[in-house]
Amino acid sequence: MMNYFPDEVLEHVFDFITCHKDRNSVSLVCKSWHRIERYSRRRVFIGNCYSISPERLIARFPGVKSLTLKGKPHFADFNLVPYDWGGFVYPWIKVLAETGIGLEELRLKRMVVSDESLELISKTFVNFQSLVLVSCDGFSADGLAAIAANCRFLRELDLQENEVDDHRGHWLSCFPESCTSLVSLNFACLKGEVNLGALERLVSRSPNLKSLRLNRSVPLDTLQKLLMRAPQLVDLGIGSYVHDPSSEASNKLKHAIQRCKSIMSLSGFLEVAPRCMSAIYPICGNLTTLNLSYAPGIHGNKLTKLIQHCRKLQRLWILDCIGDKGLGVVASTCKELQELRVFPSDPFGAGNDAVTEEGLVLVSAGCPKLNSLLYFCQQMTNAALITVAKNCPNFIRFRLCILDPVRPDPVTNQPLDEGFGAIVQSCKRLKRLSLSGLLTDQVFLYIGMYAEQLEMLSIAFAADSDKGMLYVLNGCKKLRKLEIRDCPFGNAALLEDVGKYETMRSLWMSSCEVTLGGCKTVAEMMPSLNVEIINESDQTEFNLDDGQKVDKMYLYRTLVGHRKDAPESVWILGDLTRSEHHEPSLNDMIQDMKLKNVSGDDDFIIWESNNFKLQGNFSVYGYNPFIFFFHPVVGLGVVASSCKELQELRVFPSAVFGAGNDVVTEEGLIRR
Amino acid sequence: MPAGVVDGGSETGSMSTVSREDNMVASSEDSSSPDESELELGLGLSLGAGVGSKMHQVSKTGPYARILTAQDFPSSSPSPSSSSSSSSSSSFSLSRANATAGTKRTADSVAAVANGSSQVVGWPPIRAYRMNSMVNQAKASVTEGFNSIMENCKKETSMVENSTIGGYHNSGNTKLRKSLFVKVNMDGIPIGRKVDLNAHESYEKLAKTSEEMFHETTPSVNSAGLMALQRDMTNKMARPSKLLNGSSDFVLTYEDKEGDWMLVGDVPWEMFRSSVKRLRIMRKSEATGLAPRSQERNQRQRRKPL
Repeated sequence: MMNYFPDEVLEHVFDFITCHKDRNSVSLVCKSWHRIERYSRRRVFIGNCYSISPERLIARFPGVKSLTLKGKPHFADFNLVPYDWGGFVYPWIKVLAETGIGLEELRLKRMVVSDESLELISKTFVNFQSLVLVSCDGFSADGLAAIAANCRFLRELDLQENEVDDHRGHWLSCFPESCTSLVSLNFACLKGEVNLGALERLVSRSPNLKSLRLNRSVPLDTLQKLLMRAPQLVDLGIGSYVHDPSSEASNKLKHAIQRCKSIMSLSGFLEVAPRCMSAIYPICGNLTTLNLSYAPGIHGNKLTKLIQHCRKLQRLWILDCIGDKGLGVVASTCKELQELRVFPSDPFGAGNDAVTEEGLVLVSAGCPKLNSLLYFCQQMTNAALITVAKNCPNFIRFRLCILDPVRPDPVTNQPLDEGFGAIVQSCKRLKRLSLSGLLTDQVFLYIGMYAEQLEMLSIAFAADSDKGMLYVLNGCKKLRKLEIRDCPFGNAALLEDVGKYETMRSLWMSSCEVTLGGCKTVAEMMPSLNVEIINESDQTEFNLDDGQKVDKMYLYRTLVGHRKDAPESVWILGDLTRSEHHEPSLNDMIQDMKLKNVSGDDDFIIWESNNFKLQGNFSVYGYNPFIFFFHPVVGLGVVASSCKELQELRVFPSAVFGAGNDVVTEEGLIRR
Repeated sequence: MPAGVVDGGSETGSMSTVSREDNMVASSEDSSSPDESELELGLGLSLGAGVGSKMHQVSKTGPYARILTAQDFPSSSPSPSSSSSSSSSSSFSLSRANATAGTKRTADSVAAVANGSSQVVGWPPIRAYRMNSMVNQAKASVTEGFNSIMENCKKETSMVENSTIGGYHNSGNTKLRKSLFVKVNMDGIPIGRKVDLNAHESYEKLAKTSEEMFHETTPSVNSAGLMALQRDMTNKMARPSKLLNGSSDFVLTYEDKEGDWMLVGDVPWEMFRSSVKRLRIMRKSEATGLAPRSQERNQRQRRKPL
């Protein structure tokens, strides 16, 4: 059959396949590959923690060592989701702990992490090495203390933009003297004091420390001491940077910084006296990443002077106080720039220093490698966007936020449809797009037509009718996440193609025109989706009439039915008797001709055949009911509908067998 | 090419993924992170024509399974042909001279923004953490320009604080929630716990819960004295709370809204509940100088140890 090699050899080969997509493809080849891949998988990424359960994760991947979980919907970042909506990590930790999984790495985003969870992690997983928390909440410094105290081989503790209650800074002191394994320590988001002596001692005994990001409570003289002890740092986040440039402290700092020849990433400056920036210049020439987005104190000439030293920058995060002129400096200096994020320093005012379309055009002209953008600005024109599209056809992520949400092109007074249309038409590899400004249905027609690789789309205050949403749903084949707020999309758009939502991770619609009845219909038609209604108003006011407009709807595909931890403000629609999600086998599906999630059981993945072998890429044959070559786009449903007497099905991913469109039938090789 | 072959290059209508077990969810990092490429599991289902959009070329090669859509359910959903008519009245534009009335909600939100008052929740789309840090930096700096930010951010701040602080909160934010969690720390144990005051109606219950909580904790740091305490507790679980009757080595104290540390147990429960910020199980030896039970708060003299 397929196995010309013993399992160990295949496993060794699979070790080289690290990309999730490829590993998933590998697992589809045949039963034995599925089995070998399963047992050898170490890293698992779960984009929605409610789409699967920890029990099933472990059943499939008992050897999992590294887990990434995401919880709340993206718009939770902007306070559109109640604080108790969900996304609790504790149930995951509990199951992992009980089943004896040897967890080593945990990466969480937008999840609720309790101190109890952190404590349980620290006490259960003896080989735990890496904890990365992004935009999480629910824990305090006590939980961090448990991690510090108990994880004997901790390499990474990376806290990014979390809301942490850290009224006590003693957690740093909880790292035992025997802990010398730290590679990365990022506590920039903590607001409280830390024990500076403990920090210095910790850094001194961590020879492998490469990344250190301090919070604002760490003063300059401590920074200097830390740098003296860790000249091998690659990534530095400065806490407080306040000093008198003529002082002894300043000279010591300069000396310390100059010793750090490996620093490539610089961030922080959470408190800064901008007249002292010259001490940093010696390391600017090596920087590939610079994040000054939390440093409003650095602006004007100080900022541009600093940037002029950074010729190798690939990633730049700044505030809009840089101004269009400053972006011009970026354009002429940073020729290697790939990612630019410009955040507003005054989101609710109309700052004169803010950036406009001019700055963006300058950067696009000067930085041809630009592929990722997040740009908050006061205004944008179609002409500018068209120019940017021409200059930079390589955008993978393009997120534009015009602070006034329905602002048209100020020059022509037209909507920005043509500008964004140019972006999607030119940037063939665009995966993520956020729109703003005045937009009609037309822009969505363009998106549906051209944005073939688009995976995530964020829409606000746009469109004229349901057509907008329909263009997107019909056109964007690879769409995974769609989030919409304040658009006139109603039930007709929502219900047009409910099966589409099963191909996506999630759909968010808030302040749109969909009604309770529409949402209920989706839930009834698609048992594999959880359809959640979030209603934060007083319960007694909410009218239970199906015609009632729904304020917030969040739906997502899942294999494990309704979740049990939703708060009162969240209603999960649908027939409760179907919350135990039944997964049919392929045979069931073929008989029913209905769309269901296909079970991962080994039974159907491969059936033996005496007659035919298939390999390579494949196309769908309509005339032979016995053999089907499985096409990833058209898919299994076609098989089901056309192939009533299916006896054989083999699935081969193109990734494994490489390029080529050869398919094999009984007539030999046929080229497509 | 034999008839009936669907050219894999053309996209025929919308697609739906038939997921294979967990592959569907075990996808790689999304495009917000540059590092990992995206999973697409790649089992798709070809649909028939969508809404008649010219974008789609449906291959007429035989029956395809279709996603069951609203059209298949005659009962509840509107027909797609009316898709635009149902919402066409909801177009809106602030810049056009004859602005048609949009959806009330949307128009209101947009009007609010257009007026310069930042009353739109969640706009501009800046992560709450970043917004908070801007507000904090504004408070720290006293310059004129920041005061306007503060004015505008006040509403944002209170919303932000209510919804971004996670599972723990002080007694000040009780009106939205039914639980009243306060932190409890015990001297010598690095891990604090939380207790829901609304779940306890009396001091006795509260003290019991606190004792039990820290009895279950197995401390791993500096535990010599604690082991003794634990043995102590194990032996005496059945008795009335030791924290309250003074027979333990520890006492239960609380920090009130004014920042003073008081012994638990004197004021009426309701009064205690409304003024407590957090609890601490304090070593008796350190409890000297706490405002004694019957003393008024504004007398700060040192007292005899309890």
